[in-house]
Amino acid sequence: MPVLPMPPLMQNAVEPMQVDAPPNEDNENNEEQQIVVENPTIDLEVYANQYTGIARLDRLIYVADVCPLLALESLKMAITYVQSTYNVKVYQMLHKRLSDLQAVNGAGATAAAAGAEQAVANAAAAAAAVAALPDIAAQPAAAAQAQANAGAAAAGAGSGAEKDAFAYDAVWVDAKMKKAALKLEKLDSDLKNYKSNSIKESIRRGHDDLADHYLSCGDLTNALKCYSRARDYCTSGKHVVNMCLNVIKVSIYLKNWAHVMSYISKAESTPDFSEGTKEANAQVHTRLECAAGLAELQQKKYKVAAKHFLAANFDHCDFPEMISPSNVAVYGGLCALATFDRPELKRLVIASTSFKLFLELEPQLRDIIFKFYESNYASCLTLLDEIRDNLLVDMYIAPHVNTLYTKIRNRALIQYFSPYMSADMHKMATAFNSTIGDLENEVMQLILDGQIQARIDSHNRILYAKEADQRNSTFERALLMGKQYQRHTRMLILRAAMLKSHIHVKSISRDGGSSNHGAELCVSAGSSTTAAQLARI
Amino acid sequence: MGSALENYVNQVRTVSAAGNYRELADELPESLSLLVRNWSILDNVLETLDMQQHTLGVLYVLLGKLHSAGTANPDSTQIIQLMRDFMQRCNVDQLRFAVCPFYELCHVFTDYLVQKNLSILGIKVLSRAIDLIRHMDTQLTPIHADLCQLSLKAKNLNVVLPYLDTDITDISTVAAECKNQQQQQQQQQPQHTLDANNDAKYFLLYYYYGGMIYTAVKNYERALYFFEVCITTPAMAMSHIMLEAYKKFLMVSLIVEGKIAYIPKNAQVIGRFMKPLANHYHDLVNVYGNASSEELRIIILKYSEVFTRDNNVGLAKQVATSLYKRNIQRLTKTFLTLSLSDVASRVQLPSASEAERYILNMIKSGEIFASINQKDGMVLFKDDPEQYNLPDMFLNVQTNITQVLDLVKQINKMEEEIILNPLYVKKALGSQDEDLTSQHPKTYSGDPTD
Amino acid sequence: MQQDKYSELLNKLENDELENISPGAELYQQLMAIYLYQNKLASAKLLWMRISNNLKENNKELAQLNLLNLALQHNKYSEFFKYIKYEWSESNKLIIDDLLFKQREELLNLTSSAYVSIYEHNLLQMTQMTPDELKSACLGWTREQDGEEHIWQPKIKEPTPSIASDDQLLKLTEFVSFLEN
Repeated sequence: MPVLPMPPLMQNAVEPMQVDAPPNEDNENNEEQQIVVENPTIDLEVYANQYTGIARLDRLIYVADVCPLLALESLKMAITYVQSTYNVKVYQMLHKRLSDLQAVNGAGATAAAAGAEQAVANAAAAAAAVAALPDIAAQPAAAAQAQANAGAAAAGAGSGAEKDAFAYDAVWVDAKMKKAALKLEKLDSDLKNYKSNSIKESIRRGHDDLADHYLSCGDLTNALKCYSRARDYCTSGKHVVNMCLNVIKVSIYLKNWAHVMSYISKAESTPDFSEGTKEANAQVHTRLECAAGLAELQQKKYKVAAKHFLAANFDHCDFPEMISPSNVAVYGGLCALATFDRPELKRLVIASTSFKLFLELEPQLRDIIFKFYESNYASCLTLLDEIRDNLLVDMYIAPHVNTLYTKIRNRALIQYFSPYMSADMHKMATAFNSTIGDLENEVMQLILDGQIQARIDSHNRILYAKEADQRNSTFERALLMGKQYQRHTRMLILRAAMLKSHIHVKSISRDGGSSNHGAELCVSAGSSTTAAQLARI
Repeated sequence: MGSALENYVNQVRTVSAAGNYRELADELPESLSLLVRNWSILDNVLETLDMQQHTLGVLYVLLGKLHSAGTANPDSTQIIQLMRDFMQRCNVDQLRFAVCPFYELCHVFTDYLVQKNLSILGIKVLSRAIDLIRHMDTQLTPIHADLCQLSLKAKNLNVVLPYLDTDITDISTVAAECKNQQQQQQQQQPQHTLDANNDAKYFLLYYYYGGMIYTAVKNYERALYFFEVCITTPAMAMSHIMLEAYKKFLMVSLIVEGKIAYIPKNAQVIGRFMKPLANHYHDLVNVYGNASSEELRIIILKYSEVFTRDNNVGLAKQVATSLYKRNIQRLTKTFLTLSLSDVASRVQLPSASEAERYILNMIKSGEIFASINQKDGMVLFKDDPEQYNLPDMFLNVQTNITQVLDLVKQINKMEEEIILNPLYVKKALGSQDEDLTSQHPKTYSGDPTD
Repeated sequence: MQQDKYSELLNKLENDELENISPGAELYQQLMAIYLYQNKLASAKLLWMRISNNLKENNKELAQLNLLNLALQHNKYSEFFKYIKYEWSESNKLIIDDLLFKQREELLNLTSSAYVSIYEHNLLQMTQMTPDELKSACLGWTREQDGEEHIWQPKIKEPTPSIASDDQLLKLTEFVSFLEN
């Protein structure tokens, strides 16, 4: 039996749910735009090999989520990979997905399969639910039982489909779970030992080891807890930074961006962060910048995100458990395009020697940025459209693709028009691969948002720049302000009178004066008829 | 005349003659039931009393008459005439001792008129009543709500509008008045809370009716203000008046601002009780946000039953019109020229000529600045020609400044009053070592710069 | 002031209405006419709503006034000028004449500010005038041939600059001295 204290385990029982909850909240509006990617041109193998650990699993699962075409392949890849870890939970989940997928594919032929599929789903769900309990060792029998059932059912259903290396391996699951439990027990007793000897450094390591193990099992919350606990045993600035990096890593998996941000600043404010060897420092620095960029990106602060990514150093950008260098190029490049003005783009992106190396990894994006800077908007926008599908399979950027694209397009429109007093909308439409009507609508929106100071002469199809009259608008604002102030103050005075006279609606009014009240309401409803009639033109 | 009533008359006469109005005011409520019971001979009692000298006595007789109107069924002309005379000739100094019964008299009179469908004849009477009893022009009395109701019923708003236009700085409540008058007497608790609730009710009604009246005369901004007051009144529970006001508030704010006007955070009742009950209206607000007249038309049609039930059909139509206008206004901001048929299609009006009609009306009312060229069917949108350099504008700014300064003065006066209030001083000084001090000046002063 | 021409009468009429149990048709007619003249359309609408059905149905002139009211409410100019051609009774005639004059002037002003060009038949339709009347009313406007039709180009009216009154000058000096001190 693991000797960990009971309370964390108890909490843990609910936590699988909580793990799911935050990202849902974060991506609230992303959920509406159910992304379905038709035909991305990525090589999944290459793509997946850029990452390790949970990052690779998460990304493969995301691909399976959004891209029906690659779903099967990515699930299989994920299964292969997950077998090198202790992550039984994900393994089971992946298998359920796989069998679902195969069942759906197979069910196209036989409707009867649907029932079986349902059964598999139920069994697998039950198994997953049981297995999801972290207290694995406590009830291995039950879990194993359920898994066996699930396995059998899956085998039964999948018999029509292919039988290969990807069949559900109940033995493996069992063995892994036992191993995991054993390892946990060992690490735990080690830690206890260290603690009783109170050797700080060992305790810290013990915590880290335990956390690493939890991570390997896919138990993010416990991993986070253990990493954080190491904090009390840090003896040097380096250790603190290390602890921060660990916490950041897990927080990223958990999509808890606020947490990521706070630990980044914690790491940066560590006293001897700037000391230490240059080499190691640069790597930490790049890692922190990338994490910050990612967090800001997820919180839709694109400009800050771009700046963070741009500060990354290519030579030290090696952390496949987080993001890959080409990610940095894409995230940084797109955010910069969407939010930087021309001088910034030139100075921070195009003239940046370090970012150039990143861009080499993504030649298409590099072309896009250069085309944009050369004001060659038509081909820039075409190229953007071409890489769209590839962006949509990336779990971090996908929810922001539409926003960023619109921003880039708008920025292009604004930049196009900025030097002109008047512009021919025919020419403008050609420059943007668009029809006059669409362009008119786009420009109209920009004008309404105050991003372009101009008016459209729809008759002659010309866009005229319009200068705002400062004096007039100041007057206008001042008058409005005065009006609002008066209204506000009157309300304030009235409210003071209300409080003074104890005007207060209490709940008794409904019981005590109910008959009275009701009668009055009838009257009010009656007279509102008249008001309604009056209001009619 | 019954001996009991003779006693009543004698009592009124002797005590009035002695000038012991307080005593009289304290004793008369007990005779009310007696008066109601003897409704048939109240006219005789009236003959023996003088409105000027025996104001309090007459007040209670009138109350008795109105309370017994259900059984007695008196001549309505006579009642109205009596009330009219009473308001003309009564003695205000005596009335001050019986403010609560006076309010009650007005309420009962209002109910009576509404029931008899003679609302229009009560307008003058009640307006006179308000003028009599209020201490200053900016004081709100419970009678205000009655006047609003009668005006709405009678569809005659000329009299009531000046009252509504006055901003209220003080409120006269039954609870407070009773306290003043019956300080010696022990007040029973339940009676007291009921009064307080009625005070809240009349307050809410005044602002609800007021909002409706302003809506009727299309002063939507002021209507919005009134509805806002109504829905942000401190509340532990939701009054149905507030709910109805909230519905109208939503619609009027669409007309005025195109979105939900800002609601102060302290009104938790709105979120807790009213939002769920007004979800149809929130749907309307959301659809309005899409700026599509067609969608708006569909949703209004879909919810027409709800709007009819709440008597908000007229407002819903106004909301629809306002969206057309708002969309046209958006066009003026983005276009220099646009063909009439483009206008029609962009704001989803059925035809170019309909668009022309809208534009012409909006030019007339000064909502947009444009000119129509029938020759090529184009509209030229212009900027607001206001250059803020004419004397008229100067005058406008000037009046605004004066108004603001007046308000500031008023706030300062209020602050002074609070600072000089012994209770406040005691509290502020007494709790100096506690944290309270830091909060108090803030909550009380109402600094305009906040 | 022109606007005040009927104000006194209006006050009296409004008062009378509030004091009498069932005011006669004449009072309502005059009230309505004055409301229309003073462009108090909301009041006019309310007035019509509170007039008893009996009067509404039986009094022809009152009904005619309401037609004017409705036309103005909906900005239907041609209807307004059509309905105003009516044998008005003596008590109302003066007010109605003023109303007609005022509305015609306002419409022409509106047209001149709202239109760059307008077809003659549209203008005639709106104002319900004969071509000759129109010509005399639209002095200074340009009339052009456009295919089959005539088209009018209204003259843009110079806004008459209002001169600052003594009162305002006084306030201005006050304000300036306030700022200086």
